[in-house]
Amino acid sequence: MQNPHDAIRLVDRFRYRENLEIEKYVLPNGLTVLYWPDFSAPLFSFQSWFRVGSRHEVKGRTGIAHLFEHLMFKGTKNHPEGDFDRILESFGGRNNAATWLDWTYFYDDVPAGFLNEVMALEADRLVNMSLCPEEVEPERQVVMNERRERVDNDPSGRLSELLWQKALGDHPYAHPTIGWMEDIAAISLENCVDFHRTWYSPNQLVLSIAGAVTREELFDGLLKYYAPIPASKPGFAPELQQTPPARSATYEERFPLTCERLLMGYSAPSVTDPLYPALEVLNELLFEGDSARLQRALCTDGEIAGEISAYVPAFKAGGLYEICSELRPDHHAEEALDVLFKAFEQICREKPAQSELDKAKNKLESRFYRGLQTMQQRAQGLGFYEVTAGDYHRLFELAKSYSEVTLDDLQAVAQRVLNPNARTIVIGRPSGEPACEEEEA
Amino acid sequence: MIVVENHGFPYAYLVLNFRFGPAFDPLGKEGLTSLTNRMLLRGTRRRSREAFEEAIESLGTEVNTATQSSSVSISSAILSRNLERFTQLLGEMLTEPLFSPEEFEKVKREMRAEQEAMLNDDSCLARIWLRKTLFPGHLLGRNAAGTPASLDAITLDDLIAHHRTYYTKSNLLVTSSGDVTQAHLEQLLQDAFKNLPEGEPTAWNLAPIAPIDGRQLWVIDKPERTQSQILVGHPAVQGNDPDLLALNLAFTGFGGTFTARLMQEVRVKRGWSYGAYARLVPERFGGFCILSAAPERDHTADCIALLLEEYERFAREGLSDDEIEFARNYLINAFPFKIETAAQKAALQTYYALMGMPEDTLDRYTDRLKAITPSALRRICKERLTPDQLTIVTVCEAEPLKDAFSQLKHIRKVNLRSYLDEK
Repeated sequence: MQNPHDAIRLVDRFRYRENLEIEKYVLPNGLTVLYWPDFSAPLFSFQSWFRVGSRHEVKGRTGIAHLFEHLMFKGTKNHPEGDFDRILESFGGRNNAATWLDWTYFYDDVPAGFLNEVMALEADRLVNMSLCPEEVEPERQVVMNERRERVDNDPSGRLSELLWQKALGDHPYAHPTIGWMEDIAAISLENCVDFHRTWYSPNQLVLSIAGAVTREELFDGLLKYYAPIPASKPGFAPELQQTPPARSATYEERFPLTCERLLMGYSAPSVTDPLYPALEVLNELLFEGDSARLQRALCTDGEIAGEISAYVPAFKAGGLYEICSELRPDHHAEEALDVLFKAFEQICREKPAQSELDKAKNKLESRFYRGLQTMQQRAQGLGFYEVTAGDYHRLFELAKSYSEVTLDDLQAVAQRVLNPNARTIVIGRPSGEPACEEEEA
Repeated sequence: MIVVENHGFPYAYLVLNFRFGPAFDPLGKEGLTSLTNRMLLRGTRRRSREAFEEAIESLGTEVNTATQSSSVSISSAILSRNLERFTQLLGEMLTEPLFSPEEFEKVKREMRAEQEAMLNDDSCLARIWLRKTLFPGHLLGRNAAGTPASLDAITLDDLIAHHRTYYTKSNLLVTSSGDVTQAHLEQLLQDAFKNLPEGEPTAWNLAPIAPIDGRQLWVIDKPERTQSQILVGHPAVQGNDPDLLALNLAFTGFGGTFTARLMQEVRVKRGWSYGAYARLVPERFGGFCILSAAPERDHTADCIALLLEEYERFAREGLSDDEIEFARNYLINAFPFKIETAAQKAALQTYYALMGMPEDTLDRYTDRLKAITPSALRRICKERLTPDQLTIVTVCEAEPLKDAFSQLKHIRKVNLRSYLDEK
């Protein structure tokens, strides 16, 4: 007699180190499953990574991927609104979700022994959502408030939104994941139902499970809850192009600020690009830690800025390498730009010292280990790279690649990314003075 | 010393905790603790600041300093192959700090710039005002970052004396986790810290905390706000209070999870705020409770009224039996997440120790939670929570909300301030 588990096909087994092995399975309906068993603590993380993010949205309906992430916590045909969280919390679980350019993911961190319950809930909301206006409207208000909090009333959020919009033109990464306010207001119930039907199906999904889960209980749950769900026709998405060179321009906004803020973006390589690890090493050397070149030049010694930081994006199609600085009072963004440009010219012209490279590699190695401590981090690492890079191995390859980066690689990536003719700059400058008085009630 | 071993990956965490805090800054010299802690990273008698930074970071680590209300800490994560070299550098940093006048002035300038930058962050601004209005006139109400005037008043001699008094073996609690053994670490630190003075343990004999005079509304006016930050709080339990666990259970049910009462009322039913929480913030001395929400500007007064109404009901009646059981099960079942990794377990044990809790707190956590009866929980809520004596801080655009604020009931005083007042 055939074993029902045979329907779950092992496609890959990866041994990273002793007692640390990852398995990848595929079900006939296209569902991908990543499994990292670890019984060192009585808990596990169960994550659902959908291959849909804000880059799949159409004009006039930006924000729907994120709004829908919120709506996934509403009622289904089997569970009224609130049940999902109540059931998970009743056995000590915690959950949340996030949406970004390339993906939407949901996590459930749960004590061991509750896998069956979690899979029942997750598979249920994959197919049985029962959206109604009474649930959508308050959630739309919540999302609008989230936008007010993270963007409209936060200068960093507003500058970041402006940067991506201006730098990337019509690219699907250009609009904000949270959506434009007028689009959030305009999304209809029908749009949401369509979105769910199009993108929330097993062939668009990667399950990533790390922790105290046996293979047998995982397989039982997959067969019982996920295998019966049919695959759907993938939604239409135009072929994703690499982000173009950032538009060469400078923009200014005024806010009630006490000091200026600067944000600058360069087009970055994709997370799968061979030069990507070199950019991470370069970033370390330039910006990370007290001894980094620009920490000293701008903050500690230069005393022009209070903060300088940079962010290497990890996206399928590149995105923007963002450099952000908060100026000190009485200093201007132009002073920081001058220092930054000189430092970039230098790194493009002269190879750094071997000791700088070694230091950066050591720090990245340490950071890699720190990023794999909890079951949530592990499941997240696997799911993220499977969906974004098309292969979870990229998580471990990157860690290894840091040690192989050479001084030539650093110079090559600097010359490619830090292009003086392709950078977008946004500056936030102070405006307005409020009143001050006191009154008795 | 607290050590939790896990040899799965080749690195370890090391945290040096010193048991004092900004409450021990002399009056008029606020910011001294924070300044002293940061100056430790600015070079040693053997190495300039630059050379010290290079020595630390070439080992693949960074050292972070933090000034909390109950302790100051110096923390790092280090590849275990570099642990010995790293502990030597830490010893050098603690016992032979350079404290150069140039770096002293530089750090002061940095801190002044940070004070200004904090005004640009509404939630940070709200937290500064909350502390100030929770403990008016008390040492605990001061901003750990100081003020421009207090930083000006601090001399290098103040800093050297502060370092000598508080960075001592008596005040030190070392926490480590990961790829490290207690015996090896003890040996390393014994050698590296041999010149650290013994000193006297800090006595936390601060003045008693006075209750707040009625309900005080603090409106921190900031232009161009389409959303308001709201914090409500009052002094509550300190870290070693016998009622702490019962109150923690109560606050979990009231506002500690997504299904808790407050989140349901503010976010799920009304869609007024992305988040709405209530929690306890116990400290080594003092401590407080806090409710938070961030509504659209036009809902600010209504949201404050709702928070006050819900809090009053919670304080007077506590939770229902079902709510208590739900919150209790949640806390018990979720406990493994608090000690999932060696670092988390070590951090939790450290927290208990810094708060002055008994050594068996971690082991008895579940049993003690199970022993709390609903009637005891309701009695403790009634006795310990003060819904008529609290501070309400809102960072918002004040002018359009003046009328709505004046309609709020049972507010003793509305205090209007500019967000630039902290400048």
